[in-house]
Amino acid sequence: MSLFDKLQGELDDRNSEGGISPVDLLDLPESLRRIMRHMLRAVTMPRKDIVAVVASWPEKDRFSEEELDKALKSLVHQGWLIEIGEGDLLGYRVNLRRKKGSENSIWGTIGSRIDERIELNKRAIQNKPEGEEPPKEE
Amino acid sequence: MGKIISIHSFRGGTGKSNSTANLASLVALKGKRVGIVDTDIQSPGIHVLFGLDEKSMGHTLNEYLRGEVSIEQVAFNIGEHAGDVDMEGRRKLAGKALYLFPSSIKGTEISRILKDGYDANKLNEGMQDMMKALNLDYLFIDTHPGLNEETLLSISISDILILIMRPDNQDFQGTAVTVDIAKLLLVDHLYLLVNKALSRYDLNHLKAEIEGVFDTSVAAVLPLTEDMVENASGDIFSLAFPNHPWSKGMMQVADTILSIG
Repeated sequence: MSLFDKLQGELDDRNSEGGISPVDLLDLPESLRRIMRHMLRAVTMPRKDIVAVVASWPEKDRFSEEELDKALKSLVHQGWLIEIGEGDLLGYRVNLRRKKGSENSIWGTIGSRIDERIELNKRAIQNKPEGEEPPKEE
Repeated sequence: MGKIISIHSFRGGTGKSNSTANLASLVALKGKRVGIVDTDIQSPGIHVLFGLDEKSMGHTLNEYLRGEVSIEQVAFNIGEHAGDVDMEGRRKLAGKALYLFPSSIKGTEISRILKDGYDANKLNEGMQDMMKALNLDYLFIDTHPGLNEETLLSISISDILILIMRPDNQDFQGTAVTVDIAKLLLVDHLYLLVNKALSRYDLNHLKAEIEGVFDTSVAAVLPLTEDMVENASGDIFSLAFPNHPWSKGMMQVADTILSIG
C-alpha cells in the first residue's frame, strides 16, 4: 500500500461518521442481535449462511426470508451493515463505528506535552556539549 | 472454530489480568493452542506476568490498529521464549502454543490512540484473523474494566464471558449491571469468578449466595492470599504453586472452560 493510499484510508475512516456502536446492539430486537453476533464473528457472512442460521432457530423465533431481507436492507440503509456482492454471492458485514478519539481531552493534552518534551530532549541532546546531561523533567 | 473468552470486571483491581494470564496458561498446558489479546489499551499490564517489557514485546496492537503491521507480526510466542527464564511457573510454558498480542506501554503510544481513536472494524477483524492465522483453540481477551465500547464489542463476540468480582458492595452493584448487559448481548456461557474472598468466609456459602443474587453460575471462589500479593505479578502463580488453594480454584475454572464443547 502506497503512502497516499494509507493516508487516504485514514482520512476516509475519520470522515466516516456512520456505523454501529456496540451500544446500539443493545437496542436491536433479540433476533437481530443474534444475527449481528454471528456476523461479527464471521466478519463477512454470505446471505445464504444467515438464512441457514435463522432456519436453525426454534420455530417460534424464526422469520421468513422476506422478513429477513427487509431487516437486512433496513440495517444497510442505517449504515450498520455493508452489502457485499450480489445474487448468489450476496453477503453482509457489520460496519462498526470508528472509536472516536478525545482530541480536546486530557489525552490530547498529555500527548502534546509528551511530544513537546521528547522534542525538547532531542534538541538538548543535539546541542549539548560532550558529557553534559539533558534537562531534567519538571 | 476456536472459542473467544472475555475476562472482564466492572471495577479495577479485581485481579483480571492475573486471572487471564493464569487461565490461558493452564489451558495451554493442556495442549491447546491459546492466544491472549490485551485490549486494555489505556492501561495494559498482562505482559508483565509473562516477563515482557517495552523492549522485549516487539510489535503491538497499537501498531496493528494504525495499519503499520499485520496481526501475525504482533503475536509474541511465549512458549518459544519460556525455556530459559528463571521463574518456575513461566518455565513450564516452554514449547506450549501460547501467544500474547500486547498493547503498547509507551506513554506516547497510549496517549496517541486515546487521542486519535481507532477503527473498531479493524480490531474485530484482527481478533478473528489471529484465531485463523495461528489456528487457535482459545482466544482470551483481557479487557479494560467498566462498561465502554471496547468491552461491549468483546462481550458481543465472546462464546464465554467470565466476570470477576470481589465480595464488595461496589463490585456487587457494578457486576449486576454487567450481567444484565451480557445477557442482553446473548453470551452463550456466562460465569462469575469471585476473587479475594476473606479466609474467614464460608466459600461454599458465598458461592451459593452470589449464584442466587445474580442468577448466574459462579465458576470458583478464590481466597484473598498474601502469597499472591508476594508474587507481585512476577510469575504465573498457578503454575508455580499448583497446590495452593488459589491455584486449585483457577484450575477448576480452566476445567470449566475446557468442558465447553
